Amino acid sequence: MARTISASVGKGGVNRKDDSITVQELLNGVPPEQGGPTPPLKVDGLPWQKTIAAIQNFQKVALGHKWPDGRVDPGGKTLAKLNEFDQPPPVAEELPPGPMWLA
Amino acid sequence: MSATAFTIGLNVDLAAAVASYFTKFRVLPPRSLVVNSTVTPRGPASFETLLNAIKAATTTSFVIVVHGYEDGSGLYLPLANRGQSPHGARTKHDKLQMLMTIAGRTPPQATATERTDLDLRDAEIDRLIGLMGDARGKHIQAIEFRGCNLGKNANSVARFRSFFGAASFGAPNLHSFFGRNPVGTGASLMASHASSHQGTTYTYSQTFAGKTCHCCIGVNDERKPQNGHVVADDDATVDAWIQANFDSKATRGTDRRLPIHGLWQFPDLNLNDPDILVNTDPRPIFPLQRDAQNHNAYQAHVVYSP
Repeated sequence: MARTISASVGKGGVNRKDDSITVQELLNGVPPEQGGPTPPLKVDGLPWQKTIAAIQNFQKVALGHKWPDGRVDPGGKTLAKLNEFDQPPPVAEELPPGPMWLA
Repeated sequence: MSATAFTIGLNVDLAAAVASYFTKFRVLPPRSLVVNSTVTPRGPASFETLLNAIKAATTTSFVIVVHGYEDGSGLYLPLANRGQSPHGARTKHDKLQMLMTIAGRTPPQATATERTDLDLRDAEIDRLIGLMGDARGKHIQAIEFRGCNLGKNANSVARFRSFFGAASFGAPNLHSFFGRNPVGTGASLMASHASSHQGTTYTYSQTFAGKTCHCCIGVNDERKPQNGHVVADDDATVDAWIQANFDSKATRGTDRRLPIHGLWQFPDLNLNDPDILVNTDPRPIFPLQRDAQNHNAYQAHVVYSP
């Protein structure tokens, strides 16, 4: 399920702590070659320079923005794109065997 | 040929697995018996109860699933009923021969030694001889035992057939197993199914149109089947596996558990083969399964009399 934020995060944003954590986690889920931060961001809910730079890099690489604004808005394209990378890790499926009997 | 399947002396789960198998896959090779119903006769788990059920049946062909002795000498069923309990010697070929010998006398009187060997009273012996006559009077067309090993012993095959007076009598010379096993599909499960295995497990794989179906069978300390599951790339591959092994027209449908039956083979060790450790794993032989020479391997392990 797509993750949401209640207000903008990043440069000039409202930067609520819960929302900032969401954005930092989403950014960390993006592979570096597709615009994710290297090294991963510290998930602390404080969207300072490194987080804003990571947002801008993501907007540049993943969205092709020539002039990235460094901000993630609720319902915006940046958040939607981040959610595309937010796939749950594959869970090993199990199929416990059923009993067999000799006649 | 329409047939009734009987289960007797089995635990409830095994009896249910047998019934489930013959409900889904009604045709039993190699004689192509078509199983109409699977019944556990009421009464003590004895040969006498089985004979009464055969007497009362409307068909003249039968599939019988009873535990068999490892050496093929007979069935684990006591011969007769005493009150509400099974009683008497176990149903082995020599005991059936003894009953037939007694029946051939005029009058059919058992000796003291025979009574002791059979562990039966005269009235009980008389009942069994009467039921033997009833079975023969039905002119039974075919009996297919699907318990373990009865076909290993030529005396068993000949004497059981003679006792019933059946035109055709077959029994496998290998262990026979049944299960109702989970079945699943998909790349993820194909990659991870081994993590679900319980105990020593062998995986038997077959490929259909480039896609694979694994039948995984967990074994006990004697390397005999005790659990299993089936996983495949997709539903079509499960269907292809079913059609290659059990019923050429059947599909999985919506079933999440698949009834399974097979014979269980321990390959012989050939001491003259320099590579004797190769292919010593036990393996299932499913009813329609073909070997490398395109023989039906299951058919090769059902022994008939005459």
